[in-house]
This record gives sequence, structure tokens and C-alpha cells, in this order.
Amino acid sequence: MTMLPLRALAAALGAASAVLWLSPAFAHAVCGDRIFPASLGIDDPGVGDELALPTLTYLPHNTGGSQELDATFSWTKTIFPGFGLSVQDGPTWQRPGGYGWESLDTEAKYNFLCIPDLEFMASVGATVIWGDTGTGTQIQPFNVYQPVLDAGLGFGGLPKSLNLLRPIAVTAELSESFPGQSWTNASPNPTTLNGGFTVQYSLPYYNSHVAEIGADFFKRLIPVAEFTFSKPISNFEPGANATTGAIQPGAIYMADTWQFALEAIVPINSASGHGAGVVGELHFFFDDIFPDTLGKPIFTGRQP
Amino acid sequence: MIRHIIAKSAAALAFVFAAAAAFAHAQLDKAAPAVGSAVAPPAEIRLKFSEGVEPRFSTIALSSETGAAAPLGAPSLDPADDSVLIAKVAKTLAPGVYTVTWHAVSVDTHKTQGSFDFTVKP
Repeated sequence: MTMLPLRALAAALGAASAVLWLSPAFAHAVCGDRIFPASLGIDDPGVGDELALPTLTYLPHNTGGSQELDATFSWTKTIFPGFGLSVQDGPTWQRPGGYGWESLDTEAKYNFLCIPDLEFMASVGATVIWGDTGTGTQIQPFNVYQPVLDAGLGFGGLPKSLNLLRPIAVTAELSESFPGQSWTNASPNPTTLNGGFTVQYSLPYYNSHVAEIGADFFKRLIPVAEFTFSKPISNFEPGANATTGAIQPGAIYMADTWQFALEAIVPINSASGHGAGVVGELHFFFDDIFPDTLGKPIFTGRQP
Repeated sequence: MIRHIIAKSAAALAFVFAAAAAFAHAQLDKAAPAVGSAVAPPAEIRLKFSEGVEPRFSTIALSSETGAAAPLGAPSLDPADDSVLIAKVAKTLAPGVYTVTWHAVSVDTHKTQGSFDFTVKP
């Protein structure tokens, strides 16, 4: 895809957001006492107005053996409370390989469940990776369709005798990728099962529920470990169905209106690459930065 | 092209940073009595949030270990700081463990909630 249609799409979304300032502020991933941060390996279970810009990923040896640097952005706009549309894209550099702009990735996501007392929330999404929208090394001539389930559970409901465990939260994601074209140039395009989970220890939660933390820096920190995997499950070449994935230990610093996350990327096996990479992301909560304009749903409704 | 993208991204970031005023979800930053502390009977419950809150739509409740409610005055703001919510304790608390449960509505209408314990020493 050339930059022109991408710019046109972004401009259209921006114009729609700017014009339709109709409803009250809408929270990001908050359920009961729990605030789920935006994670990097998998999506968080909430739907909110937010912008990840940039997400920088460096891999010393990716699955193809190349050194890789990705610089992506992701913007989510709520249409009505609990439902949002997101767009993600960005350039990729590989050596050897070269440069390419990734295929446009869009998702419609609906947060259908929040049980405040359990700090449990879940969302479903439908992702489309649009064919013929990438450039250079990232050209893909077909769409990929991906239903997604995200869920998160805080441990705040544990008995207070287990107070030290109450700041823990886990989130998980499961999806399946269906290529819109079974074969390309006599090669099969496999259907893949993708998933992952995170384990988080929220020091903000510890500070406000268990015991006070003196240092301001630590009371905003969330140590996290993420685990991701992907496995071809049908229409793959013989022997080409190895599970790939990564373990991503790191930390998230959560300020009032933004967060910064930094994680290592450790391949789980040789099929997933070699050497530890790194990913960092600056993330803005538009529902907090622009609560009366860009950061609230286009159509009316109030977050419970 | 890459320079153009970087320049545009930097401009967008600058815009977002410039717009990032103090509006957010009100998270509990500090409390008196402190979260998890053991103290003498307090005269008030004082909650310091990460941003300004609306006292008309925010609540503080206090309960004993048995779940019995301990009477509190209506929450009000510290006149010098709109991020501090205060509720007077109506009568001296007996020794024991107490739970503070709060619901806060920040000045930009976001809702947050939480609870914590403190102990009144004999």
C-alpha cells in the first residue's frame, strides 16, 4: 500500500474523532479495583482510547535469521463504550532483507464482561491484516482474518491473609489466524493458533491496597513477564509446524496519562530466533489526556 | 521518507506531551492512616489521590473486622488541595482492624475505587 491511502484513512478517523465529541470520558482497562496496563506481547483485556507511539522492537536474529528493527504505532478509538476500532502499522528494517512497510492491521474489539468484585474482564476482537497494503519486504498479497479473545484477572479478591499475592494479575490472549488465500506461488499459507499470557505484579495496587510504598518511582512500577506462542495448525508444509514464541520479562512504568514499557524478548526455541531482543513502547491514554474530546467514545454512554 | 516519518512522529509526540495535562484516573497515592499501618485512633481518614476528585460523587466508608460500619462525616476536599479527600471519624475507634473503602470520581469524570486496612493499636 502506498502512504496515500494510509494517510487518508488516518485523516478520516481523525476527522471523525474530532467532529463527534458527544459523550463522557471512557476509562481504559479498569475493572473493579484493578487497572490493567497495556502489555506488549499480547493485548490487554480492555478497550480504550489510546495511542502507542512508538513501539520499537529489535531482534538480533529473527525467525528468518535476519537482524530486525520494527517501529510501529497503534491507535484505538472508542466508537461507543466498550467498543473500539484500532489501526496499527509501521516500517520494518531487516538485514539482510531490506526495508518494508508492514501490512495495515485493523481490529474491532468489544469489552463484553467486567466483574468488578473479581477484577475480571474479557473482550472479543476481530482483526484483519489487509493484503496488498505492505511494501518492500512486507508485501503480502492476501488478507488475514483473526478472531481474538482477551481476558484479565486480578488477584485482589484473595483473602487478606494472602495480602502479598493480591497485587498479582494475569492476562491472556488466544487467537487463530486464517489466511484469505490458501496458496501463494505454490506455497501453502498456514492457519495458525496464537496465544500468550502475562503475569504482572502491580506495585500501584500494592501501594493502595496492601502497604504504602515510599518511593514515587516504585509505586508506579509493574514488573511483568509475558509469554507468547504461535503454531501452524493446518495447511502447512511437511515439518513446518514448529511452535514459535518468546518469553518477555520486563517492567511497565505507569504514569497518570501515559506509560512506558521495556521488555527483553527471549526466543523459546531455535525456530523462534536466536539471541535476546528488546521491545520498548511509549503509550498514551487518550481517555485521560483528552477526556472531553478525542478520548471518549464517539457515541454517548458512560463507562460503568 | 524515513526522515519525514520520524519528523511527523516527533511532532505528534510533542503535541500529545503538550496536551498531557493533569487529568487522569484518580489513583490512591497516600493515605492517613497509611495503608496497612498500625496507628492510634485517627480523628479523620485522609486520602491523597493522584489528581483532583469531585467530593459530591466520591465516597469513603469505614468498617470494622465484623463488617460493622464506623460512622464517618461526609467527605470533603482539603481546601488547599483538591486531590485530598477527608472524612472525619465521628467517634473514637476501638482497637482492631478497620477497612477503608473508597470510590472516587476524578475531575474528568473517571471512576476508580479501592480499599485498604489499618489497625488501631490498643
